[in-house]
Amino acid sequence: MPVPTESYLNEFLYGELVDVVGPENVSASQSDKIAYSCDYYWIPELWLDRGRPLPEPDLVVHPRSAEEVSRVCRIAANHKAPLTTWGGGSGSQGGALPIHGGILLDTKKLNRILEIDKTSLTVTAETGIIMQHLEWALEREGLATMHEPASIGCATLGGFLAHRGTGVLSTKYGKIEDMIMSLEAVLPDATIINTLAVPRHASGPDLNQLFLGSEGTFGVITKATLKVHPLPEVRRFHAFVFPDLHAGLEAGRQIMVRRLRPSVIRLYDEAETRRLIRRVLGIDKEGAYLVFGFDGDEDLVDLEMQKALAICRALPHEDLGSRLGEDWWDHRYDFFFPNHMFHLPQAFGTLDTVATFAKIENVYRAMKRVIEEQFPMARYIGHFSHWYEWGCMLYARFIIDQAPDDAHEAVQLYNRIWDACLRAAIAEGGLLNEHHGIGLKLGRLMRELYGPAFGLLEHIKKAIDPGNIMNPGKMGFETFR
Amino acid sequence: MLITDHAATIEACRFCFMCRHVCTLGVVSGKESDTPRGKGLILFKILKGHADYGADLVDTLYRCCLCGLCETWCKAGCRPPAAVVAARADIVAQGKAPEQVRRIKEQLVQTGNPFGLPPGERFQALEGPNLFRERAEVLYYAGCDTAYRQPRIAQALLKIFQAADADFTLLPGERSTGKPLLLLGYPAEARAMSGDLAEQIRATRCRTLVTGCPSSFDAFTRDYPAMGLDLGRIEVLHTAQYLDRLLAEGRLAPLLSAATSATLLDGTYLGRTHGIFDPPRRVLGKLAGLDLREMVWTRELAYSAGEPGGVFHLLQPQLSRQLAARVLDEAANTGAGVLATTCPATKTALAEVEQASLEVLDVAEILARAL
Ligand SMILES: Cc1cc2nc3c(=O)[nH]c(=O)nc-3n(C[C@H](O)[C@H](O)[C@H](O)COP(=O)(O)OP(=O)(O)OC[C@H]3O[C@@H](n4cnc5c(N)ncnc54)[C@H](O)[C@@H]3O)c2cc1C
Ligand code: SF4
Ligand code: SF4
Repeated sequence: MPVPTESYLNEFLYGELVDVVGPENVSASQSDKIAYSCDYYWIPELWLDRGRPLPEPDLVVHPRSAEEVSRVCRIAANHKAPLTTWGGGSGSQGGALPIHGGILLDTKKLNRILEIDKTSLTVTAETGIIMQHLEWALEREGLATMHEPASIGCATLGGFLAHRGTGVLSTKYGKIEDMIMSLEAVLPDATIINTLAVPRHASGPDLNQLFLGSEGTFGVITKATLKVHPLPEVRRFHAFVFPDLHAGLEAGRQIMVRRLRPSVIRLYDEAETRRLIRRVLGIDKEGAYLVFGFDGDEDLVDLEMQKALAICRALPHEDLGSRLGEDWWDHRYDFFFPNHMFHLPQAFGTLDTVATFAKIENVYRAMKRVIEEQFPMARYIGHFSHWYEWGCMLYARFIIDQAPDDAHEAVQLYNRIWDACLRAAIAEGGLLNEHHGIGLKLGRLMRELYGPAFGLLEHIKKAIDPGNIMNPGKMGFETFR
Repeated sequence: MLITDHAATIEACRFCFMCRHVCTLGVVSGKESDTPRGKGLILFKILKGHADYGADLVDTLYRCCLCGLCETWCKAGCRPPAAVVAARADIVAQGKAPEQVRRIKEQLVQTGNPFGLPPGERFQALEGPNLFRERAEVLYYAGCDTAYRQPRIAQALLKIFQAADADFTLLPGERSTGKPLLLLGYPAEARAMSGDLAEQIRATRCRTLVTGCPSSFDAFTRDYPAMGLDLGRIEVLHTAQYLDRLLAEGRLAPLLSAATSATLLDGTYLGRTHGIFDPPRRVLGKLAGLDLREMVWTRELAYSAGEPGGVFHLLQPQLSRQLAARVLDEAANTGAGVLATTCPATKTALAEVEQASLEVLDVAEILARAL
């Protein structure tokens, strides 16, 4: 494979990489440069759509073991070449984009399932495995991680760990960071480390947490052990419409503080309710649509369901029964195919954030106000779909039906909306993000979110990656020089 | 540019990740450029004039095996394989077809088969009285892969014809249907070859055409009508359907299976395209003593060993072996002793990989052994 580049130095890099992984696993092909220049972030999509050149990797490498990853890291460190880890490229924050060129490390050939421990109910797998492939293999054994994101077929285990991803059943089973037992990672100095075998102990701080959410800036996660669960005997849903969002939030809160364990609660604001009910039921309805579900042994599910129904029925409500919930479950991935998803020339962004019950409604309203008052060309919708004992996640979205024709103008407008909305969210006690991560998109706001604590994160980054080669330019860390 | 007709697919796929985990090639190679999204990005650039067909992009577009799993999975009605075939025709029209593609095309045009083997050797492995008859009920179209690479499948079928006392003939001037030319990006050459064959078939005035090759079956039933080619009033059947009919009519004596367990591999044309899933299963189900098992990936979602047109294993031998290994692993998971196929090109591709626990046999061969 020729290495088309102005610099003959890349020839050295290429040769050394081939030495590690073989010629079939290193590419400088134009096809790969195109395919790895764009992830699920709106800005590169727009840029590509408008025919503008995107930053591309110089070389793409597909290592097949942690040892190979380690040797690739050594080469990158010696050459001071940027090393960007790419799992499925389905991240929406530009996290996997090789914005400074260099080596792009695709993890998808690290895809073996190493052990299913049926005694302890854990699974150990390499992190480049596509989540759905892992899930299908577990299903054959009657097991599941219960990590059910809409991108289950698009994204890798490593990508979810790196972004602290979440699935639709997270309210009961947790986000990926709640599922992790231990992990293996390769540091930028090529050391292969393992965290402790179990996550609950008093043997020092939890190193898992250092890598969760680190978005490839601290190293490459190469292996992970996760908890798994038996497939549930039954899964049941029920839906209501409440007069307004406030009432719906109260219903969800009561279910959670009563310490019931629903696997799903989804509450839609008035705007999304109108759209959704019309699409599914073909009728117009005002209010806030709430669906929840329980899974597990039938008798336990029935009991919890009764208690949750009693909570909802004590509030002003309209009972919609179970069909809508079941329909949603059966078609939960359909909404992400292009015929349903937002797409160019629309501009859109998912402002997922999280706060306590005391604050989440204010966060929702603050962002809504920003859109309505400052960006009249945009509309705002939201739903609340991951619930904790103390609060919940808001999945808000802004949509502009026609992004400005001029790419520069479009990007500037886009970033202004993000800044204004997220600053409003932070002011009300919300965070920058709940499960999509920071990436390139939100890095500039990290210092505002963390305050002086961001300095600590910077120290950690410098200690682990003094050459700043790991995914430079992301998470608000110093960019590549 | 023919890809203009596929703009909707290209514009949807370029930013969509929803079928990457089922894309045969994407899963096997791990390369983003091999997924429908990757190809969508590339073709979008071509469509808008932001890129040219350089050698790398051309290479990517000839790596897709056209298995159609993406299309089956897609809920947006997109058709990546059709977009890829259109792109190939554009590539050919620009004189940028890779050397290997041009060679296969030349061989098809010169010898009527993609291997470049002498036309005179086509039926060399077949014996029997009266294989070529003036008039017959059934025309058996073997196809290139069966004739040159898997003559045992044809031999098995001849044995079955005889056992069922079927009135059949071969076509003396048999050659490729033109399907591989179409899939490689040579629609005009494909049309010429197809027209010639259609004429010969029409002239036989047979009532039924039977072929064991799903790519040929698809050519006769979809491509020819689309090209305006008329085969006369002939009914086209895949052997699986024909054998199913013979069994239903009681034209074959009770059958005792030689193998004890089998699993059936569905394919792109017979399965995903034409929905012919049950006839081969019914045939195997009629064999006493045969335990038929299903793979997890079966019917419209069956793994692909690269079937369309039988050109994938000629173009991409290394990838073809990887695809075959994946199919064999999946089949071995059932614990069956035989992997039953309904496609000679698939059988050839699978034979290139060692899999000690499985014997790969065409449905016709399994049936013939039970006679
Ligand atoms: C249709 C669709 C639906 C989605 N739905 C959800 C959803 O329901 N829930 C959800 O959480 N997200 C969702 N996402 C977003 C996305 O799937 C997640 O962010 C996911 O975690 C990204 O994984 P990936 O393998 O694609 O990672 P990439 O996009 O390739 O990378 C993301 C980041 O992780 C880093 N990284 C990747 N692998 C490793 C590794 N092994 N070690 C270290 N760093 C690594 C990269 O450097 C990058 O910074 C959705 C995306 C799409 C396209
Ligand atoms: S074929 Fe459908 S699912 Fe696959 S990338 Fe294209 S639009 Fe998405
Ligand atoms: S036809 Fe098969 S190999 Fe080609 S893109 Fe679709 S799924 Fe992948």
